[in-house]
Amino acid sequence: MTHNERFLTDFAAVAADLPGASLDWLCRVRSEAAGLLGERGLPTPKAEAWKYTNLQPVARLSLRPALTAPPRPDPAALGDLRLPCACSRMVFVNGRFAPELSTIGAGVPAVSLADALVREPGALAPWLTQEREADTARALNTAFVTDGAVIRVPAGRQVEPPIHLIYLGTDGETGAARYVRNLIAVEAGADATIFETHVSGGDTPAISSVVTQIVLGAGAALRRFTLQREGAALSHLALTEAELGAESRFENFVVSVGGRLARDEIAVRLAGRGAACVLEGVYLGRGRQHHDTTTRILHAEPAGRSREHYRGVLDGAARAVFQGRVEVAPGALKTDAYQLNENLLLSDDAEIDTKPELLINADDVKCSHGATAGSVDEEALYYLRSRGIGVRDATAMLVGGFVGALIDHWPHAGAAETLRRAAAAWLEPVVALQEAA
Amino acid sequence: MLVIDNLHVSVGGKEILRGLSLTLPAGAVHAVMGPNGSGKSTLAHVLAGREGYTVTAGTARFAGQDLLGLPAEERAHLGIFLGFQYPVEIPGVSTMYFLKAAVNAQRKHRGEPELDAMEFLKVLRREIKGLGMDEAMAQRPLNVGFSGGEKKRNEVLQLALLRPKLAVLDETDSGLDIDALKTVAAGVNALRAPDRAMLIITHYQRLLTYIVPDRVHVLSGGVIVASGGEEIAEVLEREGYAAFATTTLSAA
Ligand SMILES: Nc1ncnc2c1ncn2[C@@H]1O[C@H](COP(=O)(O)OP(=O)(O)OP(=O)(O)O)[C@@H](O)[C@H]1O
Ligand SMILES: [Mg+2]
Repeated sequence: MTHNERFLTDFAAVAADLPGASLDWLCRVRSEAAGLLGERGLPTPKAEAWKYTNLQPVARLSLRPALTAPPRPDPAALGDLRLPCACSRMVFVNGRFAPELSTIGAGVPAVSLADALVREPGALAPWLTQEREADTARALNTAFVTDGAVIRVPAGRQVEPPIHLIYLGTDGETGAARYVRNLIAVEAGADATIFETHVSGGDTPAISSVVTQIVLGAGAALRRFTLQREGAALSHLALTEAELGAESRFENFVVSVGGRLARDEIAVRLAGRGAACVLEGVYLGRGRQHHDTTTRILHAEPAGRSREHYRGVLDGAARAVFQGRVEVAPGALKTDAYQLNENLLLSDDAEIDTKPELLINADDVKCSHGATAGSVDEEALYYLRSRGIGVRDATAMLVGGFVGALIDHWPHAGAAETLRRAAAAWLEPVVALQEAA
Repeated sequence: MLVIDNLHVSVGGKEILRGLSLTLPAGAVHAVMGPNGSGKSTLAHVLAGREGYTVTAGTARFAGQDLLGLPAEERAHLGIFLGFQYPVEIPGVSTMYFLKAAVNAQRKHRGEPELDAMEFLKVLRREIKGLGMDEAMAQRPLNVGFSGGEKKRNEVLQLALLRPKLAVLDETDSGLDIDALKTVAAGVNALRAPDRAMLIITHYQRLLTYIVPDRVHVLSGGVIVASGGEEIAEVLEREGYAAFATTTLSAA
């Protein structure tokens, strides 16, 4: 049996048990997506968007999600994942909502996708049917999705403190794939902050697929912070699609430390005049980790502003890809786009492929990009050492500073602090490795 | 305490120090003056342990120990401190965190207990106040966006916190306004001690009216061309380096 045939049998085996199986429209959407997958398979490096990230090892994994009730992790396991604020919290275990671990504040407009499919399926249809699948990695999610967060912030509302979405992978269902779909609408003039934590343990290879669809109304604002700390054998495939209304503002911050293969793909369409987006992140890789950050920003209307800044630290034989595409549509005058990708390579075997791509079809625009890759600043290292700080600690300070300088100005002190701590925790063994070398 | 003998150092195939000899006894304060490019900072960095220099001949011994093979941090542990002419900016590392790490690294090496956050803060506050600095500075990333004078004061703050046995101050006075110069000089003078030696590199005789050196050396073309008392600084002030230029850069 080829992988593609197996995709279809995997789908056939679980289709009747997936949430929303009684909804005709959803069954159609799912089986079309599965059909596409069976026909074409997962993307290969022949597809431009997947040139540097090989999904063939992923194609060998089981695609089946676990569908029985998820094992209940000890709530204490959530301890160090909690944010330093009284957040509403939605916890998903192996891709399914776990209400007993969750607390949603009164009036906070967040429900699980599986619940929403029961209670208001009509409202979800436009989200789940609208698209031609961008690629078969997305189709995979559509075919198998089990749950996710549905958040709809009504016009003018401000949601504070942040909503914390925790996606937990447990060892109880080893090898089962996880599929999450989040649907987030922030209506005109509304404002929200979302914090996402993806965390799993174990070293059995498995797929964790997350697709997040975001729509911002005119003048809306959404800040989203993500900590990706998947287990060392996981293939984490994240895709975010954001549609930005006039004068809206989307800010996306990510710290990515986990996974054997981690893809963070973000497609933003500045669809209204004067929309703004900020995409910033840090990826830290070691061993044979592969981090892929792929961003596509489309400036469709005038006076949009986009800012991208990603920093990577790569040790061992880790590899990272940064593909940043910025497209300015004809007529999107006064577009202001800026992109920067900086990498610190701590070993000779670490590797970065960075590929900016500017497609400018309008006049009177400001677009710039830059990319760097290098080792730790020798002059700075010497300065620290001349004060008696040993090479190991001095290197850790510099790498920590490189990462921290970006995180520190992220616009939510609690989130920034949590993400900085996660990055710092990652750094300790890196430095230990260097000392051993 | 510090004995440099016939030191030859090249950088990128170019010989910068060309047989430099200098002896600095414990408790002494010596000044080094010399034209731009004469090798003052090179000397300072060779003593502090910066990489990239090739020592082709000569020795530098500190308290009887050969310095030249040691990594920078070990020289710091021996008690050597360099106040940088151009302090390095380090984004993302708070000044406070850095200072505490430096103090504790050295304490640890000496077998003393490390200072906890509260203990360190107390010491830091005292020194910051003594140097007329703003405490808020300690929260900022190390040297990032500091004015020229603030960077230099931050060097003196480190000097005061680390209390080295040998302090090499490379143009710590340049970039300081007159009030800061007096504060910094007072800070340095307060650290004068029988077991502490200082090598003060400067272009200006003015500093030497506040920190009166025991001896002044003129460095030109990579060698000491004259040594003497304070009067040398006054001659320089009046006549410039031409008075001592037995070896010129062009000859180098
Ligand atoms: N990496 C290098 N490669 C080549 N030449 C170098 C290098 N580093 C320093 N030099 C040269 O060595 C010489 C001495 O430099 P140094 O910085 O020691 O001078 P200085 O006496 O401190 O000058 P200033 O008064 O301007 O601070 C200069 O001519 C400088 O250009
Ligand atoms: Mg100099």
